[in-house]
Amino acid sequence: MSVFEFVLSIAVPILIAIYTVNVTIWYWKRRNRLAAVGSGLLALLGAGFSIGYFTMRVLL
Amino acid sequence: MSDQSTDGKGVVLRTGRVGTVELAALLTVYGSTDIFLSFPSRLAEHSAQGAFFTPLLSAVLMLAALFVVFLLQRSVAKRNWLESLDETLTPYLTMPLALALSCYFLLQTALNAREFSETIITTVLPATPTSIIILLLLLTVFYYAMAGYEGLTRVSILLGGVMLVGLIVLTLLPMTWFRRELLFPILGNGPLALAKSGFRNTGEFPQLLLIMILAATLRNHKHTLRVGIMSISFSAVIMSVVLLVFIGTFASAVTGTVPFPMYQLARVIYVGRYVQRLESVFVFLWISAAVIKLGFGLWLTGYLYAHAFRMPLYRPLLPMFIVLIYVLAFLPPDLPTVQMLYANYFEKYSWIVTLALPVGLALIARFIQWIKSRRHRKKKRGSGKGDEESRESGTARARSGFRKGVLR
Repeated sequence: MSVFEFVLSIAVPILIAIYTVNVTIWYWKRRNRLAAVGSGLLALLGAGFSIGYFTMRVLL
Repeated sequence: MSDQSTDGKGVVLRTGRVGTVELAALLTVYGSTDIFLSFPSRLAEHSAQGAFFTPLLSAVLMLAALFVVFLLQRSVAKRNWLESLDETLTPYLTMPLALALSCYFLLQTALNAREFSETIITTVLPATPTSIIILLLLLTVFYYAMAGYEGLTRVSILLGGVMLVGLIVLTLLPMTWFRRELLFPILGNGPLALAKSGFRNTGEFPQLLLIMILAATLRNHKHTLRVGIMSISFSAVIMSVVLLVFIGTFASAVTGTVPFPMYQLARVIYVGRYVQRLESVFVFLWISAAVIKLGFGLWLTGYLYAHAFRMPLYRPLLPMFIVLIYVLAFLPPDLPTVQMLYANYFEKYSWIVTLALPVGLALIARFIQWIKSRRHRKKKRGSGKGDEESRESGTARARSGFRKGVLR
């Protein structure tokens, strides 16, 4: 796996997931529970799906 | 730039206001960008020589649906459709609806991104890896969607004009190859097949759905219907003209073997030594249209998702949606799979989202409003009787000397 591929497929989704989790915490602190659930779900789905997919692609 | 804020009552997504022509340009470009891809080829294969009637038939159907929706729900012209559905139906129903629409636009944007990048590889950059092309395309799209709704509409009006001029040039110059006999039999596979194809093709006209969602953002609400009519008609005419020139120029058009009709049309241009092979013009038009289409698709995905979860902001969601689009774009192994997915799922069932959903929900909302107003009238009549009784007793008391002054 080249550095470019690693950055693109693993590091970028992790960084964006951290950012989205941060947004989730921000919503949670502002007592907007539904919005927090929404952004948390998106972080989980997006990061899980992309990291899982690219890991599978590298492994297989 | 658009602003977003919360109001006292709850969370409201603010997008800014746009003009009539700006929104019409955005919806026209969004609706007609597919002509740069393999869509005309698939349509020609389906409806044979009569394919150029199909967009016109679909547009007539969509215009009828637009009038029906506006007759059923007058509030559609002024308010966000999802917000008014929140009131007439329930938020528990609009939330999954907004989520489903967000998923629909996400999948469509991902497939479009893949098809555009594959087209770039096939036509101009054969040695570049797909990941690099999709990455660069999505970075531009991300910047574009972050600029917001007003930015999207303004760029559309600028590029819309250029695109229109370019399309006119690209459809007029190959006329040296145009042969009228290729257009016959003019009804293709027959009127019934044409009608079926016209109905199925309504999925290519998302303007009705979009105008219902975005009506509240118009500066002048009196022009909402006008925006719908303009965008649907312009898209239909553009698609129809391109199909007409395509079928009249290539004998193999109806076999579906020409993968990118607009690109092929630009390639065959030969008007003397100095005006020939204008695919460079085509590539410019096509990339700008792709960026508008993908940018607006991403913006819609974020906007609808934020609306579903009552978020005050949609911009923080866009980076994660870009990652999702990137991954989803890579799921189909090659271009034929992408085209198969389009033909078998999106083109077959999109009419449910673009035609049946708005009309069906407008009918339901109208029915509920009618029931509510009937109940309200009954209540009013009941309370009206009570008022009359109290008024009568009041006058009787006044006659018998029970006045303010007398009592004092």
